[in-house]
Amino acid sequence: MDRRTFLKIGAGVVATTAMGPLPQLVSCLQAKETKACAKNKWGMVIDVAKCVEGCTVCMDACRKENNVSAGNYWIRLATIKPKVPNAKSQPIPLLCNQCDDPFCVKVCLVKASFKRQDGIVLIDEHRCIGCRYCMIVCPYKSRSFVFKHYEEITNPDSPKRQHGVVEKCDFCVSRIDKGLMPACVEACPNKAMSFGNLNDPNSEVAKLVATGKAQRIRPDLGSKPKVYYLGL
Amino acid sequence: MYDKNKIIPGLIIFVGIVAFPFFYNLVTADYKPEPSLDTPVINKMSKKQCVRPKDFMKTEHMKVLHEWRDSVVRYGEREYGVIDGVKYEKSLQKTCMQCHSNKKDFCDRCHTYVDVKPYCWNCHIAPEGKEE
Ligand code: SF4
Ligand code: SF4
Repeated sequence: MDRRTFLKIGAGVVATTAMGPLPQLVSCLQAKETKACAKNKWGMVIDVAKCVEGCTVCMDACRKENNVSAGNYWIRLATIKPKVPNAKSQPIPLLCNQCDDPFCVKVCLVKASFKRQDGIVLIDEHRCIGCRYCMIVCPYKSRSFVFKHYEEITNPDSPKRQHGVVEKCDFCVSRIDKGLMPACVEACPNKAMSFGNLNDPNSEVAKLVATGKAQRIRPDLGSKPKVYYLGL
Repeated sequence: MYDKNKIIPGLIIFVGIVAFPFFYNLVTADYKPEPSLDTPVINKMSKKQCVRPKDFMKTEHMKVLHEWRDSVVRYGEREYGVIDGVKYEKSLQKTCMQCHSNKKDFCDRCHTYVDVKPYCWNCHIAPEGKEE
């Protein structure tokens, strides 16, 4: 082979390799644009002050929508109580923060955990081998292991999960794809949560984040969470 | 070879006995799984058709399902397309099982026959009353 042919073939190979990610990019440009497209970036803002003690509506709605296994939580309520006399205790909803730089995705051996182009972190339950590395690494303890095959079905349109995989909040991805709000956001009687596209400056969440008052939990850890809290 | 007269017939008899089940099934096996299409939705269809031609679905339905799975889960592409004015979603539970609401007499017949155990139903929910 002379030098010229070698270079030609080499250039061809390099060009073909570089085209690898192309289909992904194209999928966003196609006419049938989906909600999963990279121009969206879903986020949530939770106004903690509107969350009242004793209410579990969001947790129940989540469980009902997603057939969450018994004993596991996709959204849970923690109570914070400042260490001052007569302080009122305040519940805060905790869920997967849908990190923009998710640690869980980095450690997943089999690429079961992945970030969709719109930033939603999902678990492909078909692939998950239940190694639980992601549970160890998640700074927000958002993931739970399915210890027992769960038989009770509350939403026949949504799958259940089999024993031996990890589950967590997926921002109700099937509802988002249909243009609906996540079940917890819709259910909250006090409208404590707002959900929307952080990339769209006119969306409610983007406006709330732009005020600069919305805080994230432990952003110093570096996973770039996309769930914001007001009045924390 | 010593005892040729005994060894060769002995071998033939031995092979005959070992291979008997194969020959037996070759002659007698006429069982065909024949998945049933007798469901309310299919009976109502004027033109009976699936999302792809029948023969293709017979051999390739698992690949179709895998493609659907990956494009829905990974890329959020949930729409399959429109066939004869009917919009189809890429969904086992919401598309396939709408027509084939008889898992026992449809999916299971072939799967049992060839002894494959797809794990679909560990998580996806079979139509009402027909589970497992
Ligand atoms: S909160 Fe945990 S599970 Fe959710 S994306 Fe971040 S690291 Fe992953
Ligand atoms: S438990 Fe599943 S999702 Fe988590 S790291 Fe292991 S394979 Fe990935």
